Amino acid sequence: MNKSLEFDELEQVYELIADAIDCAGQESEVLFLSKLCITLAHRVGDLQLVEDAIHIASDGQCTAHKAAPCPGNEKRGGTP
Amino acid sequence: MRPAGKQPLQSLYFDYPLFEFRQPPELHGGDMQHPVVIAGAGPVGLTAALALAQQGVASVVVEKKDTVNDGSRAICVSRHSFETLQQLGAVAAFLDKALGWTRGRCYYRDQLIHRLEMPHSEDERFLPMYNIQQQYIEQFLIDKTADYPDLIELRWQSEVSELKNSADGVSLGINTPEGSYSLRGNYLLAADGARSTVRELLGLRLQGDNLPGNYVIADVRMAHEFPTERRSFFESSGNPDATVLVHRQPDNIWRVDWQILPGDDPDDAVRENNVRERVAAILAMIGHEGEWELEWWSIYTANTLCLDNYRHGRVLFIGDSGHIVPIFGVRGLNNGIADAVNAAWKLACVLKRLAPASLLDSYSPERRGATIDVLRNAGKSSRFMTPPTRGYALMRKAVLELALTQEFTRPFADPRQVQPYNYEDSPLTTPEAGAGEFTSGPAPGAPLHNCRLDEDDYLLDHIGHSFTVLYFSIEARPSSELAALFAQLYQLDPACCILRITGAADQVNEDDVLVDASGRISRAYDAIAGTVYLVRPDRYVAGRWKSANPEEILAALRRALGGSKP
Ligand SMILES: Cc1cc2nc3c(=O)[nH]c(=O)nc-3n(C[C@H](O)[C@H](O)[C@H](O)COP(=O)(O)OP(=O)(O)OC[C@H]3O[C@@H](n4cnc5c(N)ncnc54)[C@H](O)[C@@H]3O)c2cc1C
Repeated sequence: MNKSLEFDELEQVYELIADAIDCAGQESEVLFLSKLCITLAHRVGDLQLVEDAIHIASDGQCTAHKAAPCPGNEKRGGTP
Repeated sequence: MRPAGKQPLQSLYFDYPLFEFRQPPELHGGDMQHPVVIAGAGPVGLTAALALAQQGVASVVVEKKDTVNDGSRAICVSRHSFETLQQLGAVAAFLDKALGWTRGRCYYRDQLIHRLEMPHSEDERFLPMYNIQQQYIEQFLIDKTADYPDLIELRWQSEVSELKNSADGVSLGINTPEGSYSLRGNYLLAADGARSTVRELLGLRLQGDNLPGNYVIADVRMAHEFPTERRSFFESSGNPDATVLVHRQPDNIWRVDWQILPGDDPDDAVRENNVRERVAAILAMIGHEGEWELEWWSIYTANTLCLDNYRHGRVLFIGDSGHIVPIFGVRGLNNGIADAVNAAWKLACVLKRLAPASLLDSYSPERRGATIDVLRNAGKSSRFMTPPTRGYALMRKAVLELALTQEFTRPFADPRQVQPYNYEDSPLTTPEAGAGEFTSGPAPGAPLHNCRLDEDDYLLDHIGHSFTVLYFSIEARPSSELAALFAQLYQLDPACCILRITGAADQVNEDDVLVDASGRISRAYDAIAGTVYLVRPDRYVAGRWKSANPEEILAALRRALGGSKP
């Protein structure tokens, strides 16, 4: 089972990501974050955990299948 | 569209036939009710006519045009469709012309990130995919209709313009160069394509989405050496913004597709000088330095649309008239062909009074199920090929960049090519009695697998045109119990083909016996002496039994013929 990081590990991750965002530069930071997300999701290996994380990170605004669709996303909702 | 100065049908490689209008009896007051009328002589309507004729059912095909499809549309035809063409006795011409393939390459920023390998083995007679232009497909099917002069009547320059769909038949208004007439049939197969008149006349609408994102599709002729493979390019140096696809076709014709970016004007994109410029850049990127000629081009928008119901009384929708799917994954024509054979065998059984009309109720759930499955996959591929929003574009870039070094995102680049649909949940399918009895082989609802028997000899070469019973036995004579069963099966379906599969090599001379000396079929079908597979006319397994149980087999055939559940 997956366990959460200890707080001091989380602190390290915080700084690692901050440095990596700076390293990527403003042009590429969004792309970097997207790559990071999908890599982490792949490693986590638990769809539910990932869905929950998306829910948390988007303040419950944009979770696929669960919340009201985001603009641009509603096209996927209808039939079929 | 063709280059400036060319006539509409002036092709670099294809001589368009001109089909004349011939006066039908109805134009002189003749009044007859045809068993089946087919609207549209596209690939799907023609396949339906051939499948009906093979079952001895006559049809009249009305087509508004006087020639085959103009310009190139479908090019990729799947193995499953080739197996259908084989069953229809039409595959030879296709094999002569088409270019078969099994592989693809996907490039991101000029680096190879994914090698597509489609499933293939020596048990297959046909390759996973073949490229052939739609006009050849139609031409070869039309040629084949000549084998059935009494059963297939092609009426060119005949446009459906009115329709009455009543409880005992359909009545159509047909416009021709020499006046209008009314044409009656017991059933109508609407094979009149994406802009179906029949659909409109019945007041029906396709439901679903027009996906954002357009492609320009161009065919060029050039002498270019590269194997027949699907090549896709994302963010290539020659065309950094647009996704590009390259396919080889017969006659030195190459299909080049490129994406039009959201901000670009589609009208601009299809202007000849712009098309030439893009093609030149793409050809430079793939390393083609020689001459090339532009044959034809068009613009394409991905749609995922279908009717809520494919059957309306005596009208069945087959092919693009009932569903429009994105081209990525090459499903339009391949699924249309599957619609045609599904509708044809059911209509044939109903018209020959082997089955109640309620058999036709299964057409829509089976084939609409296939469409929904296609839409699910095709929607995914389209969202990858033409990302609809910034979010999709970003995620695509993320997985493509990762794919340069990481294996786990490479499958995103897979085109999800068409797979035959499974009818496991169909009311016609009898589920296995004992779960887990079989560990391999096609389960009820799946299409038959091919199996190599010998040089140029495969299992599917021996399948019948109607129902087929595969029974595994070394006994030259069936037991009296089985003999009684076979007699009853023949009563239910006089055209059914009972094929005995034996390991004993001394029984080669009977034509209803397949010698499986190496035990290959038995292994592939997980069969023992006494195993039976009941196969529908469209090669789908209706039921299977590890050891034959006559009562259950009979009940399964009744069920596959639309009878009530046992
Ligand atoms: C650019 C492009 C590329 C494609 N590539 C592929 C591919 O690689 N693989 C694949 O599987 N699919 C592909 N498709 C889809 C494929 O072309 C279609 O799914 C296929 O042609 C459908 O066949 P059909 O017989 O249902 O319709 P159509 O081919 O459209 O034929 C319908 C026929 O009905 C006739 N008709 C229309 N109205 C009337 C009327 N009122 N009266 C009489 N006749 C009428 C028309 O003239 C036409 O001949 C592609 C499509 C496009 C546009």
